[in-house]
Amino acid sequence: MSFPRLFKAVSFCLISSGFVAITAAGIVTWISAILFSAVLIFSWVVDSARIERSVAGRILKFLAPGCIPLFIIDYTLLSRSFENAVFHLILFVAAIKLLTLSKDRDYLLLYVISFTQLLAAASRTVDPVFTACFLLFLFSAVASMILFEMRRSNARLQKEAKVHPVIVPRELHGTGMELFSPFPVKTMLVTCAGITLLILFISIPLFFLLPRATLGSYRQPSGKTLMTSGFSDRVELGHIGTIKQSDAVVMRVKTDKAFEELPHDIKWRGLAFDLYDGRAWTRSEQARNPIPTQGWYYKLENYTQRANLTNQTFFVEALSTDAVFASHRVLAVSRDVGRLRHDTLGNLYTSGHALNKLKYTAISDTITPDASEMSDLRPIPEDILRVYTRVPSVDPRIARLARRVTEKAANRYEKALTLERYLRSTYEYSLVLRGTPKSADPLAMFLFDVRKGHCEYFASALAIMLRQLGIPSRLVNGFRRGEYNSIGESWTVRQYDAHSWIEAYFPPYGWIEFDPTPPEPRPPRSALSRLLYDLSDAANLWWWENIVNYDSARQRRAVAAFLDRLDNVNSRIRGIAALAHGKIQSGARAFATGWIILLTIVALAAAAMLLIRPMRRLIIKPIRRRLVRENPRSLTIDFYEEAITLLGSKGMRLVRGQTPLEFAHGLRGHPAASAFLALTVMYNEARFARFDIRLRAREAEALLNALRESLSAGASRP
Amino acid sequence: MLKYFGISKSLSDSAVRAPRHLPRSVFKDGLFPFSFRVTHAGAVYLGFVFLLSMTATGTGNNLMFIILAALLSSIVVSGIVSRNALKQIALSLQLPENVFAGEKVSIKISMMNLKRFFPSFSIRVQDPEMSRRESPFIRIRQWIAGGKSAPAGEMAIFRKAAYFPVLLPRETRSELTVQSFPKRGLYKLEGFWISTRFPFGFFQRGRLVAAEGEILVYPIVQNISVFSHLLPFLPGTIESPHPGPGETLFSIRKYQEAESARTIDWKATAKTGELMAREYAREEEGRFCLILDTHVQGSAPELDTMFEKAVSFAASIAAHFVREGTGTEFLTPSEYVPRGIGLDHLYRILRSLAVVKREKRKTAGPGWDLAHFPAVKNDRLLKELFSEKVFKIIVTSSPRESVPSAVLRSSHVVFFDEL
Repeated sequence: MSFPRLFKAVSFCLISSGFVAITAAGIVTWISAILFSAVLIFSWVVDSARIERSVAGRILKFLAPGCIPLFIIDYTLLSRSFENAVFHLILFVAAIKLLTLSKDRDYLLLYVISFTQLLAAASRTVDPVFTACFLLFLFSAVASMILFEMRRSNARLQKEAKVHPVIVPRELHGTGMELFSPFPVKTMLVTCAGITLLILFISIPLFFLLPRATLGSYRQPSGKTLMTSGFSDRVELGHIGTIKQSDAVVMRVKTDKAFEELPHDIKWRGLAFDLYDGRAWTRSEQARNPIPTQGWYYKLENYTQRANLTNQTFFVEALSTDAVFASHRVLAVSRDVGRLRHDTLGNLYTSGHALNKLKYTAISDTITPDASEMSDLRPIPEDILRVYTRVPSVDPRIARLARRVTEKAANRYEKALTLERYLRSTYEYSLVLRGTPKSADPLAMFLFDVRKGHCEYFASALAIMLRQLGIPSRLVNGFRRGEYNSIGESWTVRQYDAHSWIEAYFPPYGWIEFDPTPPEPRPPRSALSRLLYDLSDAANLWWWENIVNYDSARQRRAVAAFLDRLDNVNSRIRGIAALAHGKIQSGARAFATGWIILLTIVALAAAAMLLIRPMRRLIIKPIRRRLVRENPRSLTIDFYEEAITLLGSKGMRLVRGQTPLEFAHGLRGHPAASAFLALTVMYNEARFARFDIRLRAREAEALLNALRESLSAGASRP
Repeated sequence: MLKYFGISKSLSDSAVRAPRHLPRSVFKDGLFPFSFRVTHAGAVYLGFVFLLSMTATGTGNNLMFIILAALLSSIVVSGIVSRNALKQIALSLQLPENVFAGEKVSIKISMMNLKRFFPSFSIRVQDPEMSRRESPFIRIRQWIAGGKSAPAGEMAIFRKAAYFPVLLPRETRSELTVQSFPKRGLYKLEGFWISTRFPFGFFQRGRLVAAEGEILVYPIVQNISVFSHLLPFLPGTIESPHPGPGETLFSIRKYQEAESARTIDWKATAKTGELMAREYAREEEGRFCLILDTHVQGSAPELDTMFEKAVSFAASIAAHFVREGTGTEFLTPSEYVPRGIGLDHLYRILRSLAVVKREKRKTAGPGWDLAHFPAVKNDRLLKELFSEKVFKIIVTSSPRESVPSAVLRSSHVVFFDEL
């Protein structure tokens, strides 16, 4: 490949990488993407410089100012978005330039456009795909800029003076690119790759060291927002079932506890509902109240009893809800969640990051209640009884069923547990609902006719049955814990993990979770697909946690951790020094033995280093000679080179430009001169003349030995 | 214009690495052993990096920080890579043995990458003298002097730049360029100034590769026909003012008895009615000496131009006579070149003329005496040179009347103001 071809290739790669970045970020529509791709391919195939000179080129140049009216039409009528209209304008200008690409400034403008596209992609996405686009951009930018610089330097020189190589290939004569023949394409590409790697190598620590300001008002772009029904003000029965069909990732959760230490039924609570009208759940109280902050946290509880604190870090995708998820009972939420508010149901809402990706930390008390502490003698507050025991007009069979099932239960808590077990064991889990949502009383239909349903029906049934027994209860929508990714050490929660359960009030604990839904059947996955998925998911999480969400606080923590480590190392060194001093003082034999072993190893290593050359000469080379005996010509050359090395070690070196014979004659008078001259003659014969193979190799070896002897006899430079 | 091409001479670097202690003149004249300069594109790039850093810090967008980190590390990488590109580079320059001022000569410059593993890219080679033109110190000095100081690079050997796009490890590449030397004289090579904008063209790094060498540029030699109006016809053999056996007509006189009838000029005999005979001039292997009087009264700048013309004239005359096969001696106040023939002899004269300098006349009077030529220590030889036995072409700025008549009798004098 010639230099101009390579230059065009890498330039097109650069232009494409910027375009791919904005396409991957979802900035341009597919029609624009197809049109621009067509122009890109067309420009690559045809000679754009010829178009530039032709009538078509002139027409295109004439059309170029037309981009402004097109931009106005696009903005006012077509895309109706300023940003999109700007991107279309940029693509239009790039397309015109691609079709009339000939001069340096055309390439430069396209490079700038490509870089602008990369910046636009960076501002509109946080997806890890950006990394791939960025790496492609970086490599092609490095290659393009290098070749562009070489092209310009050559043009500048040729303008000053006509310089050409001694031999000019016919095809390059008069092109001004004579100096680029021959051009080592592979070496250039390897160099570009090396420079790219070097840039990355320096960029990684630099990225973490660049100072971050806390003043940033930037909101991370949302990417694709997931529609999550079941987390709005009114949730009709069956809504959760619709999102359970999807396997899109909703969030990833990292906990400070190991997989086995977490409660097996831990769930990520979203919204609770207190008012059931027979078909749907709503919240009676809509007011959202601010939460006081303490340090970096919103403080939700002032006290805990025998708490089992669990620290959870949530990485939530952009959702169509402002609910904040955390395991029950939340004590505090970090302030990076945005402006946090709560209502009387214990629901948490954030307004600052609605529809955007969200990262926050929540501290919850995940203690398992002790049944022995539950007693009906402990009174339930009046206001709770009033709100959470309201029952709409439902089928009276439900109340009868509740009483029948719990007739043997000793207290309220046992009744709740009995009903939970009853529903779990008696009814079937199914996402296929036959008639229940449309029936007049969906719960009665579920409990007495269909006897199949999904979590919302189970939870609603339990909540209503408890209320009819006088136990305060409420419905909660959220997510199950999801799948554990052992590589990323995180829980991956998908839409099909959406779940409904209930909370019932039992003093002294307060609200306690009950989950009457039987386990959901899940199709098994192969180990390989699981591994691959875990890997990609862990990478995704790492990207989000360490790159996208890297901020000044993390930077400060990292610096502090680094300084701590330095301190540790320092104290360890001091400790070792003190220990060594103590050991030496006491004359501990073991320590001395350790030192002796260490010194012996060092001495052996030094001796080995010193012996490498003699060993090579005395052992390796003779062995090699025996092995390659069938090629005495190379042996003779080998002997000569060894002789040169020997003479060099005595200060007699071949000067650049000196022929071997001249060098040999220059040693006249030296004891080794005659042997070396004879060896030189043989060397010349071996390289350039007919050579008596069998006889001369041994003779050369003999001459080399003679030379070695005369040199070791103490001969110095003549 | 005459061309004399001989064996090419090679000026190459004496050391691969730049020496630790460079000649003082290198520093004195505003050229440092290493240089690092931000190009125009680099200034734009730095400005853009600054803007991006503001944007990234203001927004806290980490993807912007990734781009910013890459842009910043590109600056560091530029420094590392360009330094490596200029390391272990050897250069040599090959140019014709005999070079005349104003003549276009082909120069071969070779560059060798001595690195074992790494290639070198995009290297520009210049004479340090020429690179001084780009030095900001020199520019400032010239600006202070109001542009009156002598422009840098006048005496540079390698007057054009060369560019080597790629040099693989251990590879040597050669390039050819055509240039001319504006003035006669001794041009010395201080070294090679190699620079690169590799990899991205944002910064330019330069390094001085020490080298030694010199080239003597002969004065302009022109065809003698240019000066023919100034000269008498001067064949290789000088005719004597005495009659004798020769080919040139000396006189026509009355025929004397006992003379050969071949001498009778029948045309003259018919015209005069008496027997008339032709007499030929005696041809002698006469001595010829070219004398350049470098003493010039005054210091006007136009005298320099006049002096250079005189030097060029002397060189042209010398070239003409040597080509004619005339044994020629050459004398200036500072050097005497004894009689000789052939090209080697001509180059000896030209070498002398290449370095000859204008001298201020020491004696106040108009006198033109032998003391002007201290190069000839032997008085007898000097007197002989100025005697009638030696025919001389004297190029001088002295007034016509100051030249002694004894000298004028055996000389053809060319005055500076005639040139």
